[in-house]
Amino acid sequence: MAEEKINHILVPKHEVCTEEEVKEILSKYNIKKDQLPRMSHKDVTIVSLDLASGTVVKIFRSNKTEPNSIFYRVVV
Amino acid sequence: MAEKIYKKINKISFGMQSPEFIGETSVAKIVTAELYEKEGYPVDGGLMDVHLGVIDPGLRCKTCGGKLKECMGHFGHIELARPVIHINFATQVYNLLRSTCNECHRILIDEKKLEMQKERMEKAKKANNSDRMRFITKDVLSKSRLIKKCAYCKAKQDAVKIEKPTTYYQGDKRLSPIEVRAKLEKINDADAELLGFNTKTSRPEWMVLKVLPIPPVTMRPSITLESGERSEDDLTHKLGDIVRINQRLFENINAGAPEMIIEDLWDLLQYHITTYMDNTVSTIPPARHRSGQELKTLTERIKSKEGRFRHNLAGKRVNFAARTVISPDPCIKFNEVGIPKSVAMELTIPERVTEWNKEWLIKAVKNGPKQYPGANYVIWPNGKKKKITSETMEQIMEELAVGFTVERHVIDGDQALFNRQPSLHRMSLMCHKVKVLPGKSFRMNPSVCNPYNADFDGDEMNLHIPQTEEARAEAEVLMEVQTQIITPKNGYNIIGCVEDSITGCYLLTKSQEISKEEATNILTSIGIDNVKFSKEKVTGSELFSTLFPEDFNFIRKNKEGEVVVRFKNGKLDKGIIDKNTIGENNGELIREFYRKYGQDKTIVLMGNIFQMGINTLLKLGFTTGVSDTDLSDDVRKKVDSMIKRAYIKVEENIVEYKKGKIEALPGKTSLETLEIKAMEILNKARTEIGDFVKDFVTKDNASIIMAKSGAKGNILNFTQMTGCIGQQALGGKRITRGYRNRTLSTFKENDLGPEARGFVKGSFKKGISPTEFFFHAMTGRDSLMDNALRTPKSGYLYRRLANALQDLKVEYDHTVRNASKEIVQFKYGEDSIDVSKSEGGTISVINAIHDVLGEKA
Repeated sequence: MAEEKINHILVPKHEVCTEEEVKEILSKYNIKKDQLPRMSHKDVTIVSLDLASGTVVKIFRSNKTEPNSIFYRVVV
Repeated sequence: MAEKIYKKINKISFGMQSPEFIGETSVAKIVTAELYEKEGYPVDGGLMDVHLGVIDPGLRCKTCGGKLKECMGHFGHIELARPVIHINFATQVYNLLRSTCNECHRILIDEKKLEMQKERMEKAKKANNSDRMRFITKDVLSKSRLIKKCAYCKAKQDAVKIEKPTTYYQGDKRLSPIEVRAKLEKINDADAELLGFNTKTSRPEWMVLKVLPIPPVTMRPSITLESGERSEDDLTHKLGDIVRINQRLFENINAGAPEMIIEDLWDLLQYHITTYMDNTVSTIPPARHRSGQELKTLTERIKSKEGRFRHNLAGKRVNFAARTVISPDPCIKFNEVGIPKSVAMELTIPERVTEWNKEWLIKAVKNGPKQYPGANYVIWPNGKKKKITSETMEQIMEELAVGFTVERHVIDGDQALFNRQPSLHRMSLMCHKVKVLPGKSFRMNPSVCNPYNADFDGDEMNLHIPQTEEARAEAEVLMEVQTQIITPKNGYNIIGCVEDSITGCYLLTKSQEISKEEATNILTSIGIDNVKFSKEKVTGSELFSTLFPEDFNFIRKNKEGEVVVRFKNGKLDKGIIDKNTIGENNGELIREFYRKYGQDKTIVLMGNIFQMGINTLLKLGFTTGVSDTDLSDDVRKKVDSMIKRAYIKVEENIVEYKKGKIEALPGKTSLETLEIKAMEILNKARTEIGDFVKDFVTKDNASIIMAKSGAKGNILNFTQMTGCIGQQALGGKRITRGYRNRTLSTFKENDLGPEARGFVKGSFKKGISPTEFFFHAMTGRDSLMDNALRTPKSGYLYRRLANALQDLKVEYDHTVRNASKEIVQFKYGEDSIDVSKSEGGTISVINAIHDVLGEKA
């Protein structure tokens, strides 16, 4: 099951950020990495990607009022 | 008094005091239980020793030289003749005795395992993981507890037992505290660390007391009674007992008294020290006053609701506050609060005497505290404060001049903060203008019940009077009722017209035509006297329109896009005013007016509409009663036949089901399908009855008018009163519980018909049959219990949520962050919409465009 990538309409797309992207995000919000929202490396949505602690994940969420919402979470 | 900060705290550590430490910090050795000499001076070496601090004004501390309030007090000590177990550490001592060898006092697990545990502990310590450290300690204790033979000295282990609270047995032999202390002393530092001690600050043997610290007198002051007698604090009493027994024990030991007597005294000492620490130990009787009241000793001072934390630190009390029952008064304004005269004469406002207010303040002082409007205190420019009484009056009146401050009674127009618990949102505390009224309750306009979530079934509310100019300004600018018309939750108006005022406006704008005189009368009763009517007859809409400015335009559409209410140039030229226009939560007209004219004009307009509504209703006369629910015989017959038709339909379905012909819905059994169909048919029947009935009652039926205008009640309530109460449901299904295969014993088994499954065909007016009554009671009880259980649960849930989220804040870059600037959301609500400026969480772009371009949709 762990190998299987979650593919469901209710699970938003998760994407790994490149280092440049991370730098950009951190400078944009003027924060350190530990001030980003966290997510477990065992989270079912990313467990298949086998991400190291400290990776920043970009999440494409959409809702009623904002179809192009983007969220970042750092893997712990 | 200037406050001095000598040091900044950056760390606090908790540990135990060693006997050496207690001795070092002590300023006096206490040797006698006597408190005062004959002259009333404290005995040297007694419990009230002058070295321990000062509690009498004028005296100086013998240790530090400080006066009362400057000297915080100093600890003394007594040396105990025999050691005594500290009650709060009894369990820890027990654990240590069980887990260590009786002979060599090592931990009872073998060397290999011990090493492993030590390594684990080292690792946890480095990671600063105190949870883990606690876990390892627990693990070591539980593993070593049951071992019967020491791995080091091979000694056989006798089981250690505890007899609560503080007696230990090894095998059958009783261990005296001396022996216990000796055992604990022999536990080496490395082992102690593994057992959860930080040996630098706490050694195991310190849990057995050799020396007892005596707290300073400042934390146990004696009170002088009116008779001049001194009454000592509970702690002093208890310490007196301890010192007395300790001295007797000393004497007996020195005199070589028999072991029996010494042991008895020792146990007594243990009892006194135990109750001194904690007087609520369950296994021993609590120490009492001579009156029989239990003593309040150290633990009780801190613990529970009346303890230091919850009573003194978390719970603060204020002056200039009042609390009483609330009651409605539609005649006062939205932003006023009616205050009983008796309350107004207790609550005061400090006012500086100037040339301009001198006259009136002198009058207030002359009236004194017993005549309204008076004053209670006068403050001299040098800060001296004096109560106004018949004795002081003359002197005060003589001296009173510019520069004095008078604490005068509150008067009409003063600001007051009005609050109802639970204070869940900011509208729970609003600023009202005082209006002094006769009576004994706080009066409020029923329209502000909604933000406070108040009703008048016995609710009480609190009132505070801000004492400084700044506080009053802040209260008025930030918290006055009109600043809170729009709720930040969704941008709707939380304050609007209610009940009778809605009914009144509805009737007025529906089709009323009244005479010029009557119209003028209504306007005058609101306080408007500058309107002239040219025609002899005035329509309700025209009268209503007089409240609005001439440039006011407003359009309300329904869901289908049709125009329901329209204002053109300040004139209501289409539509009827109802709850959706001027009511709370969704009064569109109120919100539109608020946006264009601002809060102050809106509150005035709302007040005027409210008054016009109730004055119209007063003029028209409006009453509801049982006769509202009368039905003619014809209509009644029709209703009965409608019910019968529904019964037949259900019966048809049952027959089909019994034949097995019913077509099951996806994912449902055929029985479930039948149930769903039956519910559907019966519920539809009731709706139809409602629609039918409401058309056949008289035009001026009050219940219908209230339901239509949105003032109170709905058509369903009316249907249940007149036509038919309808299907009773438990958990979304028809009633099936009860006896075997039937709900009640009057029915045959497996009866699936409407009446056997909880359909109530009667109405509240007509009455219902016993079986129907039973079914109705079933659902009634169910919802009652449901409500009673759910309300506190959801309240607590909300409380925890509010506490967890209280530090969240939207930053300038639209991110939501907590106090440590950790990001919670990258965009507020993921869409950056300020809901307090939206309508129900969304912002209508079209409306915004129309606003800017001035177009009419």
